[in-house]
Amino acid sequence: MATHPDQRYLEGLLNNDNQIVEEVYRLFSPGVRSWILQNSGTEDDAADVFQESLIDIYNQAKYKGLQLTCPFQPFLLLVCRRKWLNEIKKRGLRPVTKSSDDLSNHGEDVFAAAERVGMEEEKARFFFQQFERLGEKCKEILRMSLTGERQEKIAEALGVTYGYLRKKKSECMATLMSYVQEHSFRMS
Amino acid sequence: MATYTNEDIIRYVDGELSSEEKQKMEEDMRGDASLMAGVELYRQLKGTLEQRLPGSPGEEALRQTLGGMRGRFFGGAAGGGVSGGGVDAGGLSGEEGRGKAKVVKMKVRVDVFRKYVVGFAAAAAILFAVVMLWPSDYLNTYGKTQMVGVTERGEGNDSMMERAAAYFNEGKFDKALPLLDEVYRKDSASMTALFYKGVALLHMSDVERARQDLARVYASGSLFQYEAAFYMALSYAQKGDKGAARSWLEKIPAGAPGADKAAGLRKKLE
Repeated sequence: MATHPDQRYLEGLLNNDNQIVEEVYRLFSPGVRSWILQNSGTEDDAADVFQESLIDIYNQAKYKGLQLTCPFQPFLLLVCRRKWLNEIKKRGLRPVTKSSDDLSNHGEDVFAAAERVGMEEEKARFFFQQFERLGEKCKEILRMSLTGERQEKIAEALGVTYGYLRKKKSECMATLMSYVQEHSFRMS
Repeated sequence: MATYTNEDIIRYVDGELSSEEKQKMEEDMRGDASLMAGVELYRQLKGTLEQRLPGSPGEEALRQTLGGMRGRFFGGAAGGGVSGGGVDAGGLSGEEGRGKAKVVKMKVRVDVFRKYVVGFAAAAAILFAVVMLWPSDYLNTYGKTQMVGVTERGEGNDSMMERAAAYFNEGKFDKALPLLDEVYRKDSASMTALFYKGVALLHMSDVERARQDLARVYASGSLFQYEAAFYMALSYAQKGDKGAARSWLEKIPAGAPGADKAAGLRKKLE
């Protein structure tokens, strides 16, 4: 599927382009704010959701090579809505308006793209929450081992043998996997 | 997947199995969906950590740009600003924090200076942070932070650090800053100096540079990592950017240095 011209908004986020970011806020924040205010949110909630949704989109573009094949406006709105609906669920509130209103004329690809961004970023956050449960030593070993540094050099820096480092890294990763599996996180 | 452990899966994905073991596992995988799911899970987990563990200066820079926009385009956050105490602007923080001082004792270890710390009395620093959470005098109240008991020895940096600490404790951050800068310039591995530099900059309302330093401390994985995350959260909280503040607080696990303060701040942000 061809990339949509609105891909430029993603490029703008990736490049931290002040003008593009301003355009995104100017054009798209009113719709998001309006919807969140109608759904038990405040101005601050709307500002938070808008910003964090843009960060999620940025991360997906950066790490997953997200390419926009649909217009940016409905896509962003849906990412924001998903995020806010999750938030109000956590707070035990109920949405007031129906979610299908002005977005019903957009294709399924918009919904699918927005859902994917939300799921992927939730998953990444979940992985990091579980990572933080590890002991300091495990975190240090994984942090050093997974950042491209040569393993022999890392072993030397940590004052352990290469064999021990490999074994310990494997154990730490296995523990992390078990934490993730404990929570039965749904893989997309 | 009964015969395979997570460590087997890790060894398989990491290419550490013998060719016979690998072949056997791949045969078993064809008829075992849960084993296949385990392999996929590990690939995703490893991939995510590899990509994101080093930290993302790009995300940090974007957050700053977005933070600059929010006050212009969202009414509730307009009054934010570094010293505006905008965290409470949306009314989400509840009433309990208003006008009440919360005293938090923060213990700070002076961890590195490895290159020039020679045999020494143990480095110890205790930072007493008095945090009054809201409403408007947030930064000034936070300025009551004190650092005591810096006992470093080395090739000159120790006395510089002590002088920096003395200024820091007096709230003379503008005088502490060049000393901390110098210590860090001489030893870029000194996360101690970088951390205090970040805190000093925050007190001087140079939020952008403060965040750069604190983010670097966080990404370094040093013992100051979580304190740095807490101050990052504070910097966003002061701007009224609750989302980013929460995001930084989420990085502080239970039991980590600063976890109590993080829990307190998190509560205020809800």
